[in-house]
Amino acid sequence: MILLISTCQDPLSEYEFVNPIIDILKENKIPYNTINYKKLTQKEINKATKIIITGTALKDFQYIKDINIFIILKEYNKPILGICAGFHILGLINKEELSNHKQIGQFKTKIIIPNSLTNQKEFNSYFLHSKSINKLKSFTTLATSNNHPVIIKHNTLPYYATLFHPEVLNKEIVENFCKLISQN
Amino acid sequence: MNLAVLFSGGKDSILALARAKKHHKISCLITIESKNPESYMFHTPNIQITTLQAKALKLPIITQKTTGKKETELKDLKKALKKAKSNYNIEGVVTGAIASIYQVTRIQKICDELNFYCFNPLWQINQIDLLNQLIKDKYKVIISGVFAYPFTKDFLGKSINKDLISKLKLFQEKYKINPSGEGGEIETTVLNCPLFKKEIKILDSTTQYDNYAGTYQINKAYLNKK
Repeated sequence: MILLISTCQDPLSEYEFVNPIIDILKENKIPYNTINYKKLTQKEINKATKIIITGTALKDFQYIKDINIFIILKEYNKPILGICAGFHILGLINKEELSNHKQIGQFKTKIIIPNSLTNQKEFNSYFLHSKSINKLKSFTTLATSNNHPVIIKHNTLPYYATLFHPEVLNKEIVENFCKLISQN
Repeated sequence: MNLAVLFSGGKDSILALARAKKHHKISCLITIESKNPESYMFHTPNIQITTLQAKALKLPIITQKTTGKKETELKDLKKALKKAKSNYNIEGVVTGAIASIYQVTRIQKICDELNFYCFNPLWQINQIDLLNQLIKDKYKVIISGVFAYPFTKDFLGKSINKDLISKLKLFQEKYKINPSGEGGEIETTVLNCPLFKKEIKILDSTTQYDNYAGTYQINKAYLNKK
């Protein structure tokens, strides 16, 4: 069962950032449970075979102020996909630093290391962020956009993150993540 | 939070308003009246009906005219948003954007410049589900514009019902039409919905149609008790 963690401070944002991912999971008949990060518990995490952390509104940074809530994920050794805010969260709990970098709209993403998330070498993606991570220590860059890392993978754990929103133009990334075989 | 809704009078902006109203105060509507009938940003048929719809919703409306030239439209939208901030102290904007990255990118950028939240509660929604939601929630929505093959003249002025949705689904399968008009294939006007205190009744209209493009223009309408 996939655990979908919403990072939205405002429930009105969940229609935009959570529902499209739910639709992908439903289309692929993948069992899931949704929880807002403020209600995240160890019990919910333990039940999940994989975790997806959603994005949120451009102006919403509450999840960064509440980053300690996500420390609980550090013990999780099954696959996690972080989307946009989820990218920031996975970075921060693994001691990466955020930098200011804004991308709003459609931009090209270029794969630099073949990976399990997509077979495509270059594609358009939808971006809506104002922060990024430029100097990765615990992660490897799998894809870039304008030379910025936009798909990353943890060096030892099955954590993936996309800075763009795959639920808009790259649904296969979410689908392929769901197909990943957990090691445990 | 005080929010403004970008309002065209069509089904998407009203459905977006309905979703937003469950969580926040809607302080005003913003309508951009574009002189460009081929605007990529703003819906144009029956835009003048928005004043009547605003009365039915009991909400104030800011109407901003624009010549409809590509990037001037955005400057005019920005003017309207600043007015909304000044008059109603809005903190965010709601749109009915479903799949147009072109539209949503431009609005997100303007909201970012003005430090507004931007909410798009219909984003990526399944278009047939959206149409079925209209029926379920007893919306009265008419087709006010058609702009693509194979839409014939008889679609104009028709209410969205189960039969029409079946036809739109068929067009989607056969011709790759966006069934809720997200690609500009159709435009709609809402005459009634649960949020309207009164319904809109049409007294006079004009239909214009040529070669798979046409409009159902409402010339005269009034608010009727429900």
